Amino acid sequence: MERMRFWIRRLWSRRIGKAAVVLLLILLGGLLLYRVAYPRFFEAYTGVVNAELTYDSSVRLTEAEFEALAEELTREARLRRAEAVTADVQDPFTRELRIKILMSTPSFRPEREYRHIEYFREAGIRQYEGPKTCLRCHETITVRTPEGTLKRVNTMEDVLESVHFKFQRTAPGFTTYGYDGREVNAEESRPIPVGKIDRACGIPGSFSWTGWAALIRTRPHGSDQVVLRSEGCGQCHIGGGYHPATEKMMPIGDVPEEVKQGIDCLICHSQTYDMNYRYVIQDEHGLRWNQDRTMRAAMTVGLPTSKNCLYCHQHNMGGDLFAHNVAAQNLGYKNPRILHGGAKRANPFSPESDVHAAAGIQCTDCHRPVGHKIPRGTKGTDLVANDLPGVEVACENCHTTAPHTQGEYRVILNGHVARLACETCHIKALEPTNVVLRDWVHPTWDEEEGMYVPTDVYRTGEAGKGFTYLWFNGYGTFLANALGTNPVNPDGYNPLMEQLVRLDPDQLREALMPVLEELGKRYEDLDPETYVQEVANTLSALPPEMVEKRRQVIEEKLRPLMKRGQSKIYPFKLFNAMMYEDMSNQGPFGAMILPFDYPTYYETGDPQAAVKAAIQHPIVRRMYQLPFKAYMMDEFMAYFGVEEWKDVYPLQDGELVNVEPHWMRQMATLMVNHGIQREGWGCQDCHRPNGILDFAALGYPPERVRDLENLPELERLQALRQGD
Amino acid sequence: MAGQPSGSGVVLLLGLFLLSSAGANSENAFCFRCHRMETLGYLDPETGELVSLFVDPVAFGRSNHRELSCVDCHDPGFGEYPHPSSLQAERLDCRNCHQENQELAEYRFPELIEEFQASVHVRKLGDRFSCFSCHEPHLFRVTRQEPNVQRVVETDNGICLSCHASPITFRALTDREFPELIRSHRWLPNAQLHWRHVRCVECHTPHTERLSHRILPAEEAEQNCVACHSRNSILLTKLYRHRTQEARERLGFVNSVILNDAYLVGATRNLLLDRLSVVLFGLTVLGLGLHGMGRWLARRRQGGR
Repeated sequence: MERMRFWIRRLWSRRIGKAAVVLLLILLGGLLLYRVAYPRFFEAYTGVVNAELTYDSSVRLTEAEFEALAEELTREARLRRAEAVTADVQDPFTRELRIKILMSTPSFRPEREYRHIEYFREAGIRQYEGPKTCLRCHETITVRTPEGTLKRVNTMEDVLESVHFKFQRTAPGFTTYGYDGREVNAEESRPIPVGKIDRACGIPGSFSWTGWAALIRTRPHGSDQVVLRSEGCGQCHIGGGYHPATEKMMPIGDVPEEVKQGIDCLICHSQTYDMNYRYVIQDEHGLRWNQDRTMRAAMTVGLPTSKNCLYCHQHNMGGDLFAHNVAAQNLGYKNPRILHGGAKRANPFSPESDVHAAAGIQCTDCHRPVGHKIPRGTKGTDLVANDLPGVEVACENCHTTAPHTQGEYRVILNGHVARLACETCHIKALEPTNVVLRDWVHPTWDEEEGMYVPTDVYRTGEAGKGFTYLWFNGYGTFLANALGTNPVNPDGYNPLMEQLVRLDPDQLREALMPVLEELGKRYEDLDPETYVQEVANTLSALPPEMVEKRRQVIEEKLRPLMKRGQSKIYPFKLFNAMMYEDMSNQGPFGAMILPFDYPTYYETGDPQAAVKAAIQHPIVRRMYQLPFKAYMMDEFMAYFGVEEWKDVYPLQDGELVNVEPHWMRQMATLMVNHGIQREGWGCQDCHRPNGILDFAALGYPPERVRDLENLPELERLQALRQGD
Repeated sequence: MAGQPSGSGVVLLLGLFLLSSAGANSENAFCFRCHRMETLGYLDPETGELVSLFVDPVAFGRSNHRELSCVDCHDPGFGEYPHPSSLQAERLDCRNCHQENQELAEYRFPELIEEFQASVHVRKLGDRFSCFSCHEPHLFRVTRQEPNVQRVVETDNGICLSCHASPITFRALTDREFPELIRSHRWLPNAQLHWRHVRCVECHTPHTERLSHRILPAEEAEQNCVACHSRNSILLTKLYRHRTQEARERLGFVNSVILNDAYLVGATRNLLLDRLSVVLFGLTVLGLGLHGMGRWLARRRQGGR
């Protein structure tokens, strides 16, 4: 003690010593500020809440319970295998007997079905407590990089940096270009965090903060009995907190420890994850999504299979009404999740509708993970972050450029590969629930569910209606429009002034009329004809000078991008939504859309009230303030085609200011790559007048259109066939 | 169809009927309707290899065969679509045109074929090796028409490498283990650099007045550096043969030897370098002169004082 005091005094007596002490104190203070004060300030500023996350499903088992469960899981797995082996046995009794025989056949019964049961037994793990439990053994993992080298990484870091956790990317690696012609987050630009986390979208009608987790009070069949339902983006994202991964959007700061412990490892890794645990729970801090943290789920962990991916991804692929969507049949033990009727991409990945799924191909066979990072492929129209931007996910990786190997037309079919994507022929229809036009401004009362829902005025999976064919070179615009052009006539193709902004009013009138008549009963001032005209010509919402500017921007900024690389014809799901827009921030390609507060919307059917409620969320308020404007909004809007973010908060004295309902100024085009059918379109499905490919709209010159629609070769083939 | 006996009489009759209605098409444009598709082709069930049926119309338009109609070489039956299946076995032979044609006499085909027969390829592979193994007739362009030597090297070496850098193709053709070029050329300093700037055939053919078609095996190939790296470089009659001729025409016989801008190690034949050295020499003489004069003037001034 005496000695220490002596040393301190000696240190203090020298000038350099004094400086060192002061420096140390400053460093300590800085660290304290960074570690304690900064997170508190960040939470206060953005309005996000973090707290200890507990889950009722995490229960400690006794030895006996553990062993009984181990036995049961092993038997169940064996039974499933036996059932699969005997699937073709017709007679039920015979099948039953065979299953019984297999179940007691020694060679059919390996020592273990699930490796982790043994590991848990030895390590004494009797309760699953989230990442903490996994990291006991898996603190680091070895990953194989696309270059083939092995690398040791920290597991938690790897997950936290993955798009599945943060759903944005503050780095280059987007295939998206702003309407100002700049690649999003290109090397030379100022990178901003972009991805699903912070871009509003007309399909969910909200964005991740305002729509993270909600409990909706519904009255099914008009009863007085209130049934609570769960809703929100958080149902499909692995973070378990009260908000999306907001901290990850800042260049500094870390994800709080309690949020890290809220990550749901099992939804991807467990073979027996029960989606019925996935519902919204409310505690003293707010609303968040529950998880399956039972030992039952934990004991079957392993590498993810398609089943795991599809718990969430079938929602946007097949849709919630798709008959084989497993999650949609396990809506929750409590507060069941709300099913979304209209499907986003409507191209299911399941053995019933996809040839690869039927062959037992797993998602990760094509989307080959590198640790917890999963590649999306090198092509994309939408503004979704990609963990591994350079990594190809393409048909050609397996099928080569000569994929047709049998039949007399194999050579000419292979010839088409130079101009057509495989999907163009091998996706002949999307699910009929495919939503094309969604009207958030005129909700409909859903009697069965007992709540108001946005009105899907047009759902169809038909070729040419629910999806269309466009030239695509792998790039997209900021609002999800495929870029590319006709190599034969690069200047004669302009979908952003033609097919994506003009629909056939007659066809549309016929399709929409029944729904519009129904809507007319609730909305008296809704004139069906005006309605049809507005959506059939989305540019009608723009003032003429804005249309002119749009034309100019397309030619100057987008045309060079459209001409890049090699374009092929791809199918694209079409989508447009009518939403409330902040007209202070309108450009030639659209205005900033405003989110809806789910409970207000679903319960009252008052979309304006829902907008008012949503934009009072602290983070939306902050969006309309200087720091946020400077940090990212100006840059974001530049990509959007608007010079500057006008920070005029659209809610003044309880009233919406300069807010108008509009359809987006063009259809969004989303890639569809699944739901692949073995038998593609035939020659004459396209090569005839009014075939499924509109050659004129695809920019072919008139004489070439005539030729493509009336191939002399095809006439000969037909004549030959008739001759047979 | 035209005269080609095919399949059953019914098909023939039908074909004749169609011929009269649609017309047999001997126009190249008709063939290119399909054959310009870059991915036209199929995987050969025997080898698993891609058989491409693509003919690049632009490259064909530049080739020596551009004046020909497709059916000049191919059976006229190919003027029909679908092509009669009897034609699938069609085997073409360059000699059919080239051996007899007086217009092509300067290429001395009989001699060329003799050389070819003596080449390592034919000696080892026999019938499995033909003109087409190296020469793609749709792209073929005689070397002297290509002004860029670098491109000549790339094109010609590309022909060799299509087998010699592809283990699968090599094994399929030879049933032999694939020798890696970098190993078999270990003796050659800066092998990669050589491959980028000279053709395989510079060393792998005998030194004849004209580039021989007798491709030599490794053991007989040129391994003497001085054969190229000298004033009388063999490259002058090989890679730079056409350049030499052209330069002679332009600069005259003597100047072409002195001022040939084909740069080779050991023999400065670069026009720019030559001129630069003359300029440097002139500058040196001028510098010396000025210096001498300065000293002389200084001495005179001193002496005067």
